[in-house]
Amino acid sequence: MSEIKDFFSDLSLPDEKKAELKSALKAKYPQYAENDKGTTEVFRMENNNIEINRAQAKVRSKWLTGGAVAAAAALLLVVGAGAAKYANKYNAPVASPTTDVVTSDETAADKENKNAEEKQKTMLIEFILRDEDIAGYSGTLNYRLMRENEVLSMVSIKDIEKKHTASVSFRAAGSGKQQLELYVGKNSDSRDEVHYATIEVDFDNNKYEVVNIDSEAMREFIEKDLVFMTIRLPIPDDLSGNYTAQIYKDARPIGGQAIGSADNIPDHIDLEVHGRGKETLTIRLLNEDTGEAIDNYAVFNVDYDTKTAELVGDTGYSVKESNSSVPNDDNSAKNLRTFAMPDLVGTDIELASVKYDRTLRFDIIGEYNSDYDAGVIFEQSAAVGETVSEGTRVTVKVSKGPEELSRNDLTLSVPFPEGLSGSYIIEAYCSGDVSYVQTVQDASLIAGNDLDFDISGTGRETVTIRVTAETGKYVDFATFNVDYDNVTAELVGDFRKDELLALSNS
Amino acid sequence: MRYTIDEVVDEFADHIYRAAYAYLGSGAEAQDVVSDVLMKYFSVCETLQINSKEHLKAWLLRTAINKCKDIVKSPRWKRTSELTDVHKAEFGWSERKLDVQRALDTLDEKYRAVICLYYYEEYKTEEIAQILGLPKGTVVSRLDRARKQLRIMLADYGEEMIV
Repeated sequence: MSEIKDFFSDLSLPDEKKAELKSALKAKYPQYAENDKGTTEVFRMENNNIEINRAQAKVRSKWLTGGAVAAAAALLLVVGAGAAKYANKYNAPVASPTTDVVTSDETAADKENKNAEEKQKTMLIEFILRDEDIAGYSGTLNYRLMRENEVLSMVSIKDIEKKHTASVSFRAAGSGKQQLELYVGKNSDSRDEVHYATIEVDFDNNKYEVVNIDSEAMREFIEKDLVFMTIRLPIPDDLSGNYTAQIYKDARPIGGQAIGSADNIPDHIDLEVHGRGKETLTIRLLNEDTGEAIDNYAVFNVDYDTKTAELVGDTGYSVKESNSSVPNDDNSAKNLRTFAMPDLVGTDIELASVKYDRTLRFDIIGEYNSDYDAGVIFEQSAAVGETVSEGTRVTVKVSKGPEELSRNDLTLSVPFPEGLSGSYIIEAYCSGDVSYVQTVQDASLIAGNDLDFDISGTGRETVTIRVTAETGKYVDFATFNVDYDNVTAELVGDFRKDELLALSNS
Repeated sequence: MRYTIDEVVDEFADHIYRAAYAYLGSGAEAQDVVSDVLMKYFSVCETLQINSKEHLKAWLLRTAINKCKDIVKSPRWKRTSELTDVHKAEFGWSERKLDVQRALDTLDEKYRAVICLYYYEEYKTEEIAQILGLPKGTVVSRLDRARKQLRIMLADYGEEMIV
């Protein structure tokens, strides 16, 4: 949101502070006071914006005496993953040991081909889970990465609706460029699964790209057990014109139904909807002739379990209908309409502001309240049934949720030792289930720092932090006995620092 | 890659300042963080494998956030934070800006940092995870909670400010 962005943009360190800082830094580190461009040779790699100056190149060349292997490793250090691909395009004006490796096009290319045939490379593929594709699903989902009929890797996430998991990471081995397919299943039966995505992997260059995500198929799969029902939408007698009813859930269109000419409708139409659990649906009426729309024509609370739908508020729709679409209706401008104040207690403030946006104006006071969920109105200044006119300001108190946010949330700070390097998958297992997965491409970024894991739950639980290297070897780095009720976490034994560093060095 | 003091201060001092301000809610504290972080950078920059400005920025922001965490944990901070409103209001701010500031102030520190990195620095959630050293899922859930809270706090502005 731009307000927040503007807020931060307007903040800046005062110029005199900057000047002060510069002179303090220059006094302490004179070697960085100015750019020594005269002695710096900058060169660029194709497709890469990496620049190296001579000072660094010299430092590296010391390491390169170990021969081709060391040279290749140093190159990787310079450009990160993907260096090999560019090695043969790389006309490095660097003197000394590097040249025999990188400037000889044919040998480098030959080597590359040979390596590809000889050895498979293992890589980590991280797939970002898209909430919208799995929304509404509860239970276990199995993500299976396949190469033709071979399962390369499988990740199973239990109780996916309770987890904050935002991605799944797979380890896959192969060589060259391959196309892998991601399937998702609800249980271990492979017949009950859906093709979800296609991922093109370039093993040699440690690159991958998700080329296709079949959200539609996934949604259908997820929604297999949905409940279908009809809801009754009242249509007033005085409405005329051709309309379409558009159905919105959480401000997203989820369906629509043509009504045709409203004159032919006796008093209601049936809308077909499907879903599970409880949902709030907003109906927008679109006048097909004029293109005008009544945005919040009706709001329904739908309970799919009991197959009931309740129209929220009685008067809302007729008020809105009359002052909205018909352009020659100028009566509404002269006389403010009056109506009975609806009962807003228990209604979500967002829902209320949408529903009454043309009739009431809300002054909102946020207060902690443990009886109502955050965002729900728990007090209104105008009494239910009181006659109010359009545009009346109503003060509502909106719950900010229960005061103590302790709600069994706690943060585990796990210190990662200095000297750690390489790339890892770090997982937190809560009572055996993976509840967090994070891929760390460059562990030197976290070395010597704490990684925080936010966990939440009830009762007691054992949480294990597992670090898995690209080789597939792993270390259970730390185990905690967590007591959510007392908000304490106790480390079992010590951090297995030595084992982790051994993993890093192997 | 070697950067000069002028380059680093001119390009990154404000970014560090904003992140620290977002976390600590105080201009004076944020200034101290900027100077600590840059001092640290130049003392260790020979040993760092930093090869692009984006990488450098991420390193600086990450170091700044760690610094902020340390400050918040210190006993000194616990004493001064009781004096909240005294040091937080700045002169000449519009009502809207004050409201944004107040709304941000009500957020927990851990949420503020995420909001700053997301809305101002426009990092993606996975990049924020790298900078803050948090699992990505945590960043996503923190962002989500923070937005919900902001939405309630800034509800008066209605559609003008859609979080």
